[in-house]
Amino acid sequence: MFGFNKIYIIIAILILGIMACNETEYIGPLSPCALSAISYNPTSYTVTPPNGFPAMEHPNDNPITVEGIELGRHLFYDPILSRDSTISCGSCHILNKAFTDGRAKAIGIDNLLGNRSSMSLINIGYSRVKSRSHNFMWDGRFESLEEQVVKGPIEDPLEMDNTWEKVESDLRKHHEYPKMFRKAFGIDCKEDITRDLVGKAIAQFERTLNSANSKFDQDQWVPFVYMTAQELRGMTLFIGDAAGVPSTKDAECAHCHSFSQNKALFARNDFSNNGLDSVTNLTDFIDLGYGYITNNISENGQFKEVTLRNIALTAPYMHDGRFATLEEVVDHYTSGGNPSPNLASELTTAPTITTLTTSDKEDLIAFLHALTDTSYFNKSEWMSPF
Amino acid sequence: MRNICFILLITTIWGSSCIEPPEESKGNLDIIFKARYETNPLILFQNTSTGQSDPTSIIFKKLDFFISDIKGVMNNSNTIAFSDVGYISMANSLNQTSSEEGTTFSIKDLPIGNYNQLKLGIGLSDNVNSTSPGSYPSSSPLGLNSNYWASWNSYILCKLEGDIIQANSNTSSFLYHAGVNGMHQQEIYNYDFNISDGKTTQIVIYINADELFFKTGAEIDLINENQTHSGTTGSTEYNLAKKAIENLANSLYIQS
Repeated sequence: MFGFNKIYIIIAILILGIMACNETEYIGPLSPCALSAISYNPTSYTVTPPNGFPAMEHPNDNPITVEGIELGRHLFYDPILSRDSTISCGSCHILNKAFTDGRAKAIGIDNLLGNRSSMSLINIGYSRVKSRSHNFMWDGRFESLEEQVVKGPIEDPLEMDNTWEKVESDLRKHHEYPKMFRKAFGIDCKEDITRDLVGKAIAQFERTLNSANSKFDQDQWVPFVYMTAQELRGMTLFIGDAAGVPSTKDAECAHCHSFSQNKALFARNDFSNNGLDSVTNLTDFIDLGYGYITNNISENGQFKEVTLRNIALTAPYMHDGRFATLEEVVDHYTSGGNPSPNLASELTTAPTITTLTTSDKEDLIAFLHALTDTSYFNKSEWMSPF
Repeated sequence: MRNICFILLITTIWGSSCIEPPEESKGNLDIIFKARYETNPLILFQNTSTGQSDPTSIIFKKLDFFISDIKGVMNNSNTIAFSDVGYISMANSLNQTSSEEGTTFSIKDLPIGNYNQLKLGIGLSDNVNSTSPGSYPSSSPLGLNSNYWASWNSYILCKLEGDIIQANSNTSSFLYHAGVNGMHQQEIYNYDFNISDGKTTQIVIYINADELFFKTGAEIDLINENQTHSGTTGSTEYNLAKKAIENLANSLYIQS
């Protein structure tokens, strides 16, 4: 018979055994930093996908929290990020312009003219293809939103012309930001405020900028109520023979600005040459765009295909803002585009695109306007906190 | 003594509980797709003589397709599912070197052993084709709008695109997209290969691009039937798309 003592010994051995299977956690030296006194209890936040959208993806090392979003919103609208504290992200990404700036090319610090047009941030979190290295910006130079923040505008001499060292120093000295970083990311010391955390916070905020409450969307939920006859005609042209049978007229838009059930992005998140410039050789493009980044000659002259959601709010159009209106854009496409060796096949094999009448174009543009969602204009959580 | 033995027994059990069970032996497979025109590597965006009276030249610009239901049959007749779906794009075949390198589809952690068959679907089964990108992460080829045709409720199963130069010197484009149900092609290659522990086996599959349009008995009229988006079952467009994906499947040869 075992006595109680022996049973205790056996239990102790078993407990020791279980403990021995776990690695010892290194908790690091005790920090003298004052931020540790502030509680760190981030509230997990799940981005609610708009109707017709899939779940939002985000990098595993940047889970979204309420505190992270709020910090990101402050940083997004704070000119502290620019060299002379005159411009913020929000200077070129204005809420009621679908987070564009209404300019052909962005204006940076000292009124310097940028190289390309500010891109819309609406539904920007859905612009990432996880398995691809090139996702963001007209030329796809950044893989993630986090990378875009860290390697993009802050140190660009035509944008904010700052240095990360100064940004980090300014944020560490700030009376509020250290506390906000603590609450969002659990840092112990002001010195722990880094560019990477700035990138993560702004990316979290950007992943909340989702909009899908247009007339088109409402019509999808309750068919044939919200869209006018003209808008519906425009949608038929937009989809063309993709509607099920070969059509006599097809604007071919839905190939690139595609939408599918539960993924109604009106973008396929790809890059293409949409015939803006006429070149004989693939090396002749003045702006190589995507090809410059990928170093793939067949991708020269290609640029990001943007979402058409809220497109009516984002004039002027194209990477260089060359078209002032949607009418000009549609005229461009219905001309078939300028020839080049890698002109998008959707344009080179578009037999009826050049036959669209003035009336057809008006219908098409009416449909594009039906993709506008202004319901977020008064969304306080997207506005500047300052 | 009995007590000591008991404690030793428990200690031994505890000790063995910390040891992870041995991992099953696994190997990897690389299926390398290489496009060629007759005996030469196919280079996209490059003028290639067809050897035909009309069109005289062809310029391939896109040669992409889904593969699916990839399986291996072992010598003991067991069929092993290798992978459900993949997307093969020959977009990198832009010069002699990259064309000869081809496009590699890698499959990890396969059971080791001797195999005598490789099964490969071209396109997608109707069952998979009834799903849509919103159901998959963006890391999957099935999760991309660019591979899907919303209004047809179908993935774009293959994309064959390019230009031709006709005998009268006119240049025109071609585009063959198969993207409706009923297009799935199943290829079976009788081929001996071995998957070894911790090693990567390579299988090369050639795409004979000249057979896509000019194979005797399966010709496609690149001049007068220069495009299809598949259409409804039985339509001219549908039949053309079906021919295109059948020709694609039939143009694949495993390197022996």
